[in-house]
Amino acid sequence: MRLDGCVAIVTGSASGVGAATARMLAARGCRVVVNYTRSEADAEAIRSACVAAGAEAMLCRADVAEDADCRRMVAAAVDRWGRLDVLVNSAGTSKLVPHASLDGLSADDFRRIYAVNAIGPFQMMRAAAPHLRATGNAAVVNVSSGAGIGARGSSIAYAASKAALNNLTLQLARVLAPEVRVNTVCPALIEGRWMRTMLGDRYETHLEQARARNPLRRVCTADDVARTILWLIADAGTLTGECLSMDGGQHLI
Amino acid sequence: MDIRGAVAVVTGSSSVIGIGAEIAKLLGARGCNVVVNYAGNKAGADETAALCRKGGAEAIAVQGDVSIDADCRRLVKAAIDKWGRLDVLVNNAATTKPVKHNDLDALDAAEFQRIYSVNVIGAYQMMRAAAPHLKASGNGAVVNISSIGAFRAGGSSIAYTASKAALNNLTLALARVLAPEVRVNALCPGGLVGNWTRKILPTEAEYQRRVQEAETKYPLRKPITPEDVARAALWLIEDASTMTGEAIRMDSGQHLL
Repeated sequence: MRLDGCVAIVTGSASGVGAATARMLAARGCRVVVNYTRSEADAEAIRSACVAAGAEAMLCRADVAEDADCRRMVAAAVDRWGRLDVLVNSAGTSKLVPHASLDGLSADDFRRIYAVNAIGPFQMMRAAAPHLRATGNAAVVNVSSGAGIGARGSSIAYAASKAALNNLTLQLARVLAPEVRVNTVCPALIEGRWMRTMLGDRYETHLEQARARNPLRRVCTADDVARTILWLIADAGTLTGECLSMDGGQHLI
Repeated sequence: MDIRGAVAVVTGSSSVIGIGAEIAKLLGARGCNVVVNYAGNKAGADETAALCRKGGAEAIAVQGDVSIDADCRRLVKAAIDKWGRLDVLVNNAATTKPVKHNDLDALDAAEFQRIYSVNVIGAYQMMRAAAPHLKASGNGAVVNISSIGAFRAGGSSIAYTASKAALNNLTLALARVLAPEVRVNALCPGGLVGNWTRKILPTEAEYQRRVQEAETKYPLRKPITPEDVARAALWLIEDASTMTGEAIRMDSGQHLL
């Protein structure tokens, strides 16, 4: 799939994997909707970077947990550029709670995390579906997590929401074929702001320990994940309903 | 991983219409030197090697049956003697015998052993012979060409699919012991078309049925080509730096049916 002249929405692209993906798409000539909920200055910096990379880009403030926001975001892309070829569901949220601390998670925590991590992508795919189908050769990539496979990660509620997202990937791959491929990346720990914010003082130590334990002695970067997303979009023409684990071999331990 | 100037061994790459040759050609086009391996088809291997050289890299054709350990060691040695290093191993050599799955009497233990020797022990012997050199490269990659049959036990025969399941398991075990210097992953295509498939299927009508099934029944309405598999192999080698011990399915969504 040639990305030159295509249009993409990348949810949660003010930072991290979403931001790296938006920039790489733009560098391939794909126009991008940069989505954010709160970090307007960061999102604007990514938008500028996309433009500097050679593609048009626009900002859209929207909360994927709200269906009206999802529809508005898709409408913004289609109103401006007349098409939509790529959707990357990167927006996600969590709450850091040790898994053994069952009392640390409330039903509201579960609901809030589920609303963003699973219902959000569903609503985005639903709103985007007619436009993606109309291109005849579209791609969705959901940014899930190794937590969705191995039930580890920042909290039980987070891991469960990512497992649900992996399942959604199968369902939507089935119903959106053959025009739209739907795949998932499941990175393990990703270094960067998200983890730093969540772990605070423990970030450096945690990262160092994770590296030491990992079979390939490394953790993912946002760029690693974005490159895999680009491959799924541009080059994995025979893959749909797949979940690519990116864990440096952690599942082998 | 920049593979310009790197060295690869691709087993079973003599047939210019097959996956192995397609991978060898892509590697050559990226400037990676290639050992093109063949068991019996020397003319095909010479042709593939010439196509690799067209891309600007060097390539040599080396005979060897991967089910024989001495041949595996000789293949690896050919790469080291010529270029002094080995960075990439693609285990593509494979064999099968088409037998209907419900015809249990048509498969005997000798058939199982023959298929296992090439598809599983061959890959093991190649990885063992290559291991010290791949480790020394510091950024080695192995790609095992498996099959969707490994997951769902559909394919040319029960002995074939069982061997591919074993190959996926080997992929896990070798990924574990060769980390962190070497990544080991597998590709599992299902629904392959092209002249290789046409050649191994008993009749042209059967081949056309397979193409038609892909175009009408697979969720993505298209078959998988050797070029698709080769591009995925190249991606695993060059770009999937955080992945090891993975088996990537390429099936146009057939598992969703």
